[in-house]
Amino acid sequence: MCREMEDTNDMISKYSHGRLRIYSVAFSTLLLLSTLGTSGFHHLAAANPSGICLELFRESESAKLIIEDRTLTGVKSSSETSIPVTKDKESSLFERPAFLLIVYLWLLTIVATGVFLWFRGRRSLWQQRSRYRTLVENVSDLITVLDGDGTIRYVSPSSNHILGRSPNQVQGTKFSDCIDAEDRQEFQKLLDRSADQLQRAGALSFHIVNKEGVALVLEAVATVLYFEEERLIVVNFRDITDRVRTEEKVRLLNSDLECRVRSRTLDLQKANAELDAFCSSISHDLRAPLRAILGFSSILEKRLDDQIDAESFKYLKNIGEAGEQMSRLIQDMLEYATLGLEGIHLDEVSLGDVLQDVISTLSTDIEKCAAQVDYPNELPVVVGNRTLFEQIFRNLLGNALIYVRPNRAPRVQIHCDVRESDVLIAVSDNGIGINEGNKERIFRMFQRLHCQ
Amino acid sequence: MESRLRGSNKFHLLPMIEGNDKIGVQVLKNVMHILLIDDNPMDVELAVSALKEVDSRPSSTGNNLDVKYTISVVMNGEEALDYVSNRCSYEDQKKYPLPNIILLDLKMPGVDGCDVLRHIKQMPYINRVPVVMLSSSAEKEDRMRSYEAGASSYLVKPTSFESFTDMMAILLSYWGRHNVRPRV
Repeated sequence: MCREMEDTNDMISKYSHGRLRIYSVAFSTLLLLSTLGTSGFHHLAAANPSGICLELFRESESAKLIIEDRTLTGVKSSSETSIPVTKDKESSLFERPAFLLIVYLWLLTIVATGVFLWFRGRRSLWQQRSRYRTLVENVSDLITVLDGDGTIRYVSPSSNHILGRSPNQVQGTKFSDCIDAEDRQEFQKLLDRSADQLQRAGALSFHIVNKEGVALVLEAVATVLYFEEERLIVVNFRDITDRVRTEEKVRLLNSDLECRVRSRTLDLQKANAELDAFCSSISHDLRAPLRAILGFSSILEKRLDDQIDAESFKYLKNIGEAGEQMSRLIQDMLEYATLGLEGIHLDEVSLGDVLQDVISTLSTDIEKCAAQVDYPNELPVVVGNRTLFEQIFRNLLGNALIYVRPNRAPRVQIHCDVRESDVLIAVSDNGIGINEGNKERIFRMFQRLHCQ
Repeated sequence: MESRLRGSNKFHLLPMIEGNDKIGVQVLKNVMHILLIDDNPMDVELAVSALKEVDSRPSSTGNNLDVKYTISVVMNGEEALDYVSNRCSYEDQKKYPLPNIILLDLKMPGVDGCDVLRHIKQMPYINRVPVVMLSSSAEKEDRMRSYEAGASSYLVKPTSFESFTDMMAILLSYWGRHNVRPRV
């Protein structure tokens, strides 16, 4: 059947599902079948290169095919064939051309997308590789890939300045050969540990001497890497020589400083202890004989009151008075010596309160000599040490009551002048005063300008 | 009134200095017995003088306390411990009765005041006896360690004899008259 169809000159065709299918070979050679085969038609005219013209009409029941040979002059021959058209069955969705077209387009899109993605992936991979390579090759750290026994598989170009050898010279050798003999065991431990733990093994520092004979301190971190079924270890080395040296310098400086501070502190403690011992000695050793002098002279004064002459009695009294004076001096000296021992703490001090306290402690003396003390109703609050303020006021007021002009009631005037951040307190009295030439002397220790 | 001084071992005992002449050696029940522990013989002399001075003050001034007391003196820490333990030369309890109050100097060579105090505070019965520290030092550290060792009071020996006498008067008045004694 097939053979016969191929041999015939007639057009054997089937029109179904809106498509004309031509079975006879001879006829198909006349036509540009591709144009016919694709879609349904009502009228179609075509000519093949050899000039055979073909006209096809679609009618309701059949298709009429007119073939004219126009190769020569005009219409050479014409034949008309009526093609019976079989009634189309209800065509399934999958066979409808629009649908098929969509499917083709869809498939085409998928393929195109796939190809696009593949190319893009390749490009990105290539870019990444190039980026990582640049990173590894430009980093100042030494990046190595070692195998289990420490043989170098890869080394970054920084080996040139760290190890003093090019990557080509180093690859294939054992890294531990570069390391100081003492540190080799530690390095092997680092490799073992990273291989065991499958994680980054902590930093380890060790010493190497590179090809150029320079001693370096390297810090290494190791991570295990699986590459083509083989377990390798990536070890990153950082040159920390400068850091270590600086740290060493800082440590030395610190320890030196600590030593000096300790030594100074010891000196100070010793000085303080000596001062303490001195004060203690004054308070105990010096006072004990003084107490005996005062005590016994006092007893003698009482016992011998009516048994000795006036002059001897006066001498006895002199002993007592001198002893009293010495007692006061020792007290002053002790106060002076212990003044700064516990540190002077600054606090807000109300000068009014301080003055009131001092006046009330001196009230007996003030009444005794009928002294008059004038002071402002309000005195400011200042920052200072209350004890010292008390002492200053006590000394100034006390002196004003003692060093008086004969037959004149002492009068003390206290003035206060507040100037921006300072407060000026002036204490003046109508006493015997201080000579201009002696004004510096009064600030020396244990100085008295007048006899009491 | 008698005092004996054994120069060799620096033991200075003034047995039974009576606050009132009528009180005899054996009658101690209502008498305050003072044990004075001080290494400085002059200070001992002064303390005893001051106590006598208190007695000699005229009753009219109100200073006469009428407190009957006896006093024993030891001049170093070791002897003080022998005394309170009634051992060695202090075995005679009648001659060396347990004190009602101890006046203790702080700074002594050898066993110092604080050591004596710590020992006393570890001994049964005698640990209830009030111990008054009598020191030349007014230093904070000395005060602190004395109270930490269990001192009942801390007095700084004044340089003036008058003040010393006043202090002794107050001491006799407080510990001898007002204070209710522990049972030893």
